[in-house]
Amino acid sequence: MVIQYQCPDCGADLEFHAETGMMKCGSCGYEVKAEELVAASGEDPDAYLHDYEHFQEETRYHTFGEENAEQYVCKNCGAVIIAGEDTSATHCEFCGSPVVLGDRLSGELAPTNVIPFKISKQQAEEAFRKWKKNGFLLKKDFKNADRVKSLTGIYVPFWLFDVKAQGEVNAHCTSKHTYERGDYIITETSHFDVFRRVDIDYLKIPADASEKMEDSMMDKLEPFSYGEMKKFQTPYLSGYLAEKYNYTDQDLFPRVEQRVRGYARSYIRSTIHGYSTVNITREHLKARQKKAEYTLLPVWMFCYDYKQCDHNFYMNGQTGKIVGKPPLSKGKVALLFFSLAAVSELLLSLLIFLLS
Amino acid sequence: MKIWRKKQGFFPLFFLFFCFLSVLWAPQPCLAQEQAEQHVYDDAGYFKKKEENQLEDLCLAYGEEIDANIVMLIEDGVENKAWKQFLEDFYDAHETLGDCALLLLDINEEERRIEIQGYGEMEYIITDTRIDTIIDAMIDNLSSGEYYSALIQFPTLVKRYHDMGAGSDARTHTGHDNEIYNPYYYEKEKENKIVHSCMLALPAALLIGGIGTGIFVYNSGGKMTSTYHNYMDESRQSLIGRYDRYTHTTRSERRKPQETHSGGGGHGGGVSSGGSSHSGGGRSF
Ligand SMILES: [Zn+2]
Ligand SMILES: [Zn+2]
Repeated sequence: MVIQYQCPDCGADLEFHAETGMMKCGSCGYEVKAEELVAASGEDPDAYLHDYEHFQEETRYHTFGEENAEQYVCKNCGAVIIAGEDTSATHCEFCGSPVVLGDRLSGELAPTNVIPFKISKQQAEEAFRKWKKNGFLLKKDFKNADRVKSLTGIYVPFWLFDVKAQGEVNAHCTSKHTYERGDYIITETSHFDVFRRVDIDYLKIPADASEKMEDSMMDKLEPFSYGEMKKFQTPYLSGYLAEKYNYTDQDLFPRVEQRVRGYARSYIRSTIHGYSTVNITREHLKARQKKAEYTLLPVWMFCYDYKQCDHNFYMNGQTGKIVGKPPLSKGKVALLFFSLAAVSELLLSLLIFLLS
Repeated sequence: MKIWRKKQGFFPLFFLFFCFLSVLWAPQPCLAQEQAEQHVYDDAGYFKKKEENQLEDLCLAYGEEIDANIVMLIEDGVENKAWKQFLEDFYDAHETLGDCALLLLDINEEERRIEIQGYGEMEYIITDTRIDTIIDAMIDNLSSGEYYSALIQFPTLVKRYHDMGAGSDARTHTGHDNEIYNPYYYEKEKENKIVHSCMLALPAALLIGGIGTGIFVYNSGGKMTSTYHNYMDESRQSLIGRYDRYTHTTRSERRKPQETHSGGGGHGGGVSSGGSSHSGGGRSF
């Protein structure tokens, strides 16, 4: 099931335009809202159900090899669309027309929500160049060279978890009071038995469900602003790459649970204050998944060719935050180390010298 | 972050650090004390030649080790019992003694007196209180007339204090009528203090450098900015039960640290008529 959007005026391809948030025709400039486009075409999310069932069967009972993969054909030029197993949106390799593979976005694979791209390709490129320039520890030739091999906008599959965390904590806390009497310094330590019970709802904690994406990188791309989240509609994918999930919400929950426990712990700790020592004596925390929504989040991926080695950088396609592992200059790192050590040595020894 | 982008800001700091280090580790001026030709003056003619030579050797050997002169005078009676004055005059008369631990043993039966003084750097090594302790150690031998045994103790005791460094009462010679700082000692003490401060600060500085750099490197690829607040549903009460129950109070007392200088000394120090400040002390036995 191939979905391609054509301009009603000139017949050229319509693509989702990040800056305006509209569907735009590249050749005549015609613009239309994504929602209107869906309504006009009478597109029904369940229309692909049949295709989806077919797809399910394939994946369930057959080895889904390259040879027997379902063939998608470009409506524009008639060429066979070459798409990876997990790809749900791409371009036709021959004519460049954006295609959305509808059956990979329906049924159980239907995303609930999407945050559309807000940062255009051009803006992303510019921001990346600026980020590189400002990175203090980066290698000089890396900073100056301009070798972005590819810049791809991908809708990465995430599960957004709603989790309920419940727990109890007992702590032994003390507060100290010191005063002088005669020749003596008297320290009075008051002991407290402290207890907290929490019931916290965490909403929309994202966990990346794509095999290809590095979890730590995706975590660092947060936060996304959910205010701009939209109910999923296929036109948003037009012109971008999109992947379907490899991991179900059950697969990912352990990771989220760990995170939630950490959050709950931090929260509880933040409610215990005004003591000089806090010693947790008992902790009982449990996290329960309330809901998980399949959501596509926008990520720009930079593949950067440096010294015959590919470095990947990711940008939050909504907020512009960039993460990645840039090549660091050893010299600059050493310089930073020595400078920090030198300054602190100078200040500390001066302090000690003056105090002694 | 922004500061570090300005590379020019780095190098001056860097240089400052190295200048600082080079000052610390620069070769120190050679101020070795020349050894006197004679260290034992047995004016009383009490010791046998062999004993005298052994004492002489001992004073020389230890004196070389501690880079100071250790000199002993054995007298049979001192005019007007002015032992302190006698040693001061002796020091003034022997200009080359420099850093010097000076001992006077008056073996006259009516007088029986030991007097010790420290000059130059030695003023700060054998301080008044330490001289007291030195005499404490020697007094038994002296009372029983074992003068040789008593005198061979002296160089070792001086060396022991030399190894311990300046005495705590060295800087506050309140007993002196006329306080004069030995500039050599003062400089050296200052240097010691600088080196000491740097040594103390070094591990902490390296740690700070390491941690700081680590944070920079770790964050060079973007840092985790979402915290426990981000996903919490703040619209509802999350904290549903709490108490902070006071149970009991414990008390601990400790004495205020006393700011007193270890006193008691100071009675034997002073300034010679030649203007040399010294520590000192004496006792009859
Ligand atoms: Zn058009
Ligand atoms: Zn095509």
